[in-house]
Amino acid sequence: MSMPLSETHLILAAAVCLAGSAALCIVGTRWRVAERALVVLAFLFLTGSMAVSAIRQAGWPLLAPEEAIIASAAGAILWHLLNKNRRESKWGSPLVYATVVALVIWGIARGVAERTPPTGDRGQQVWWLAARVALALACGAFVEAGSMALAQLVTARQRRLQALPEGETSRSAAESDNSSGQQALLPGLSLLTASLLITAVGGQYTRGVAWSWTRAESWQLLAWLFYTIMWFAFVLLGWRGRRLWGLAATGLAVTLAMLHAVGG
Amino acid sequence: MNTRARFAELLNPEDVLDSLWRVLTAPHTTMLLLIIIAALVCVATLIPQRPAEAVSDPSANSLWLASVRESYGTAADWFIGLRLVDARRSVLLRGLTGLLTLNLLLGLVDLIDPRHLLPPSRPPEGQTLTASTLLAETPQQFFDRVKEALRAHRYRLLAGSSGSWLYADRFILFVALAYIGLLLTIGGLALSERTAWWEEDVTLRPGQVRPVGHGTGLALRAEVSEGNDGLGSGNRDDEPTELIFLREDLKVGQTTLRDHAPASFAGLWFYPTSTEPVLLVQAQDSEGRNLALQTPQTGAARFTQVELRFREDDSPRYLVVLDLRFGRQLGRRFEQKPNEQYVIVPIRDLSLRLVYNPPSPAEAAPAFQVEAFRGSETSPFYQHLFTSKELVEIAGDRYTFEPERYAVIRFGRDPGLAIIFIGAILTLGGMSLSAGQRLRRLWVVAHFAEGEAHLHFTSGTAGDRTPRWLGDLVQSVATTLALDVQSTQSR
Repeated sequence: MSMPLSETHLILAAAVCLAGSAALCIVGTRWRVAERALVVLAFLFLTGSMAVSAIRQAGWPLLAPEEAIIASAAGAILWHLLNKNRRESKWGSPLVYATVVALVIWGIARGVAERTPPTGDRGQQVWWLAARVALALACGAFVEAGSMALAQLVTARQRRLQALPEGETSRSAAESDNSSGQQALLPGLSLLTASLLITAVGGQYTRGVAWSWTRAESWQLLAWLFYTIMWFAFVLLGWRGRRLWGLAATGLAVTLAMLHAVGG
Repeated sequence: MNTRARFAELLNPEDVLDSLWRVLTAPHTTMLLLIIIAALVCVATLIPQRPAEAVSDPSANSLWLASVRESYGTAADWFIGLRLVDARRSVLLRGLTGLLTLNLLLGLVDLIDPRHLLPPSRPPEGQTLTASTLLAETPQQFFDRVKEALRAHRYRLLAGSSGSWLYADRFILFVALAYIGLLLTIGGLALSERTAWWEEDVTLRPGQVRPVGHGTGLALRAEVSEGNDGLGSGNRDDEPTELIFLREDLKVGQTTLRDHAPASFAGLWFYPTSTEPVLLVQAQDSEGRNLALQTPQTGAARFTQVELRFREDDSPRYLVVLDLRFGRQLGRRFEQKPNEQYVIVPIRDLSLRLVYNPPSPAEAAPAFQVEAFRGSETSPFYQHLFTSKELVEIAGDRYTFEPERYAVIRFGRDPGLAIIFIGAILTLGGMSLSAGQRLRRLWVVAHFAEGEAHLHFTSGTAGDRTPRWLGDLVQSVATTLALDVQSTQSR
């Protein structure tokens, strides 16, 4: 008996790859090539699952709300692959992969519980697709930055408990303008701004209503306000290190709440 | 540095206005305002907000309040008492937005012309690198060489009045761009709120002329471009609406409204909401005299022709009514089918029930069904099905049923919208560019003593470590000026 390949199979395969990669991360540094290959494979599986879903529904991908969660997971993997400082903290990569796996499981659960068919005509769907792509990449950036920041905080605490000199606490990370816990934050904010702008322009063009205070829009605005506060702290006040990691880790909760509103 | 110390740093006891300026332009103030605004948006997201209809209509308001109390119980009284149900249009939110605008405006002025930055006696929080050298020239000549070296790194310079300190920055334009964008967005929102107007669900029958109003001096006429028959092909979304604009009965323009695509004319925007099926009903007796007709919607008024409007969608229409039970008001919802209407013929003690049947995918056109009832009888004595204009005889009288399709549009003007979008694009650009090229600000303070010059380079960024760019810059300047980088110190 043959079972047709569905998006759920691909998503599960991605989750297995991520779990394997996280395990290799913890085991040691000898398996870096295999770890990276598994992450790339997981990203391909996730994007493949969205492609399969789009083909099955004969429409644009990412229009079903639950797909926004899966796409954000894929976005987080992409940002993590682009993060040059991802090895600053031992727990960084495993925490990112764990968050991504949690997102993937959440996405599958939402899809199983309530698969929402895409609405609107083709004109509207193009706007939605553009907004969703920007939103998924933004959420991915925030998830990656938040998880890495959380890992940095954990590492800093561990070092403090081990009574290492304060100066040794992630010294390179704090000195860097692009520490692993903050690298994706600013591009993420730009993408979230772009998503809000596309949603507003698309809504105005297709319905004549730029902003309608829906739950998803309100949570996106809230997340935008949060990360704009962080932009002021980062760019104008030059916050780095622990203060910014704290904010980025809090941002992870804000992002998950936003995804809950968008994907629900 | 704690909050109190940071606040104390902003105050200048010798100049109250200067202190006020610094407090108002501080990024900390911006962050604080944004946090309170975010808290209000959070309240508006989690707690139901009073709709505009309830604000303008007392009876709708009491119904809405009753439904909130029914849903939230005693918590509703708290929401209403604390005016949390009006958070979105609250004076607090407007006041905070106004303060934010002032803060951003003054902050922008400070970015462009940073005259009010802290004097060298109290350098800002940040990391300081010190470099020294033996003076082989006058202090002024040496300081001029420092300026030249910074200019060579494309820094913008602002020299202090004493001639021994200077402020330098780079990539400030990107941050200024984001500030301008945010200001334009808020300005556009304010303009929108003050000047925008929209006419919702305007129904236009073919050929009907309707004044646009709002001082435009325009009138518009709609023509629904029909499919194969009078009611269209059944594919309602594909039927464009032609809008003809008139000024003093003369045609001044024409545009086509397509589904989900707006059209504009003279600064006005027009959106097709839908087209709705309408049935025109007339009745004449055997001698050709018109019979007076009534509908439940028009009440006691009698007409020789009535128009019955039906809805395409199958969603039920909810009516919320008051139910008095032990003195308590409750909201109740009833369903009313959207596709049936009634016509009463008082002189004949006769009523007609007309049912609209939307076309199924296999059918080309919708169908109407008419049922006639006498007095209080519950069974119809006459039934008939038709799809196009029809003349039928019921109880000796002739009834004309003419299916039509009316265009339903919304139109209006919103001068703030373009400003909002331009502002958002500038914000996006500023934020993206400042992500690529981070703002760099530094203060250089020179001390000259015993034939030596000491330069203190202080970055304007908080944190435990010296930013890499500052280290690189000081190293480069030190190489150019033959300085000896001596110490690192952070405040």
